[in-house]
This record gives sequence, C-alpha cells and structure tokens, in this order.
Amino acid sequence: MTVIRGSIDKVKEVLKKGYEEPIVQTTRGYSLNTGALGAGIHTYALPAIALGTLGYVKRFSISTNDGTAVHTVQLRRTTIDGNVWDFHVSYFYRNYEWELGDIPIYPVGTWSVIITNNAAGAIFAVNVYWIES
Amino acid sequence: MFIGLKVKMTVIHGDIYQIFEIEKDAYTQPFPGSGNIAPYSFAAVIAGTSTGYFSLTEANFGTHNLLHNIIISSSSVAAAMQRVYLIHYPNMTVLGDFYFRYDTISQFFLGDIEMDLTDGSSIRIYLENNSGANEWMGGVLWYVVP
Repeated sequence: MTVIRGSIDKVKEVLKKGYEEPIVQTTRGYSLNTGALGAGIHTYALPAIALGTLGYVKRFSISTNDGTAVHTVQLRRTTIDGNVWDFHVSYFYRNYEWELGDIPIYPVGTWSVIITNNAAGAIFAVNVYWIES
Repeated sequence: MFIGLKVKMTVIHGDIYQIFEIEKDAYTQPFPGSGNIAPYSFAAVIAGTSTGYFSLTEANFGTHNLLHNIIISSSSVAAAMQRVYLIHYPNMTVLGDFYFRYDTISQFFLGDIEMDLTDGSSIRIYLENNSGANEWMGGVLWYVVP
C-alpha cells in the first residue's frame, strides 16, 4: 500500500506522473534546554513552529536533570484568533516521550510548552519534531 | 503465456480521502522511512563530571539520511541524571537533548530529521557524565537510509 500525504493537487500530480519523488516530507526539530529554573510555572514559545508552515506536529519529549520530583508539562497551541488548544497535559518523572499523532500545525498560531517545576533549580530539556508538507 | 497485472492501491491523506488505482506500469519510489536502518555505535569512559563527544561524519553516515533514534546507557547508578545531546557541527543546531538514568527510559526518538553531511559538517554526540566518578557511557545512534 502506498500513502501519499499532502494536498489534493499534490496527489493528482503524483498520480499523473505515476510515481512519487523520493523525498516529499521534511521533518524538522526544535530542541530547548531551559537552564536552571526556580519552582513554579514556566512558559516557552516554540518559534520555528510559530512560523505557520503547513504540516504535522509529530513527537514531543521532555527530560530533567532532577531525579526526585514529579513535574508537569503542557503543550499548548494558541491560534491567531486567540483560541487556546491544550493538546497534552501530563505529569512526568525524570523523562517522558509522547507520540502526538500528527497534529496539524494549521491553523496558524503559536505553540508553547508550559512546565511546572516542582524542584527549584531543575533543568529541563525539551524536544519537538514536526513534519513539513 | 500468463501476463501478471500489478495493481497498487493509494491512500490519500489530506483534506479528502480517496482511493485511486494507479495504472499497471506505474510505480512508487521508496518513501522516507521505508529504507534500511543503520547503526552508529559509540562508547567511552568519561571522566567524572565532564563531557566527551563522538563525531559522525559523511564517511560513515552517507548522504541525506534521516536521524531516527538514539539508545543510551551508562555504568552509573548514582542519583545524578546523565545527559546526551546531539549537535549538528559546526552549525551548532541542537538536534536533541535528553537526560536519563539507569532506571529511566533510555531510547529517544529524533523525528527522522534529514541530514546532509556532504559539506564536511558532522553530527556530534555529547555524553555528559554527572555522577562524579569515571563512568562508561555508550549507545547506538540509528539512522534511516531512504
């Protein structure tokens, strides 16, 4: 089975040619190391995704150098008309990875990661990967 | 004489889902992620509270391959978290940054990011030992050859 992912015009083009060019998707990543944070809520915008490119957010991971406390992470999209979509809220311990199921980046807006740090001085490493189409 | 008829089914992901039948001589070239997975193994003793790195170059990585995942471990059973992070050098783009410990998950996915090292650049795998003692640290970086 062949899967063609993209606009209907793109799919028609592939069918007309009879084959698909080998590289049709580009995955990009954004990695953030917060440095030491005080206890409480910290919000980070994801600038690359905020550019509004069509595509799909694919995978998200977070880990911390703190080996004791349970922390909270939240992935949020705010659209240009101000609507807030919270895609994921989770408690995690030491490290955590989540498959996002190809959430469309559209409609254009900003994506942010909200970390609730329950151990003063903890460092967090955040990784987000998405597909451009 | 028997003449075989090849029929391929296409599923379209997009605004509309449709199924098309591609004519018998049509073919689809390999899709990213459908190729072979190749390993790059690394291991070293890292001095207490210091960082070492390995370089993955075009010579062993090839061209236009996709970073898939990294599996990492260390000999430390200390309370401190260990760290592994990947840099596209000399661009200094961070490709992934992960903390781990002997009792946490130690496989991290890298999103199948396409890398081109033909310009002489490399992928550096930094191993940060935070245990305070000399530790073995090592693992495997897996990449996809489309």
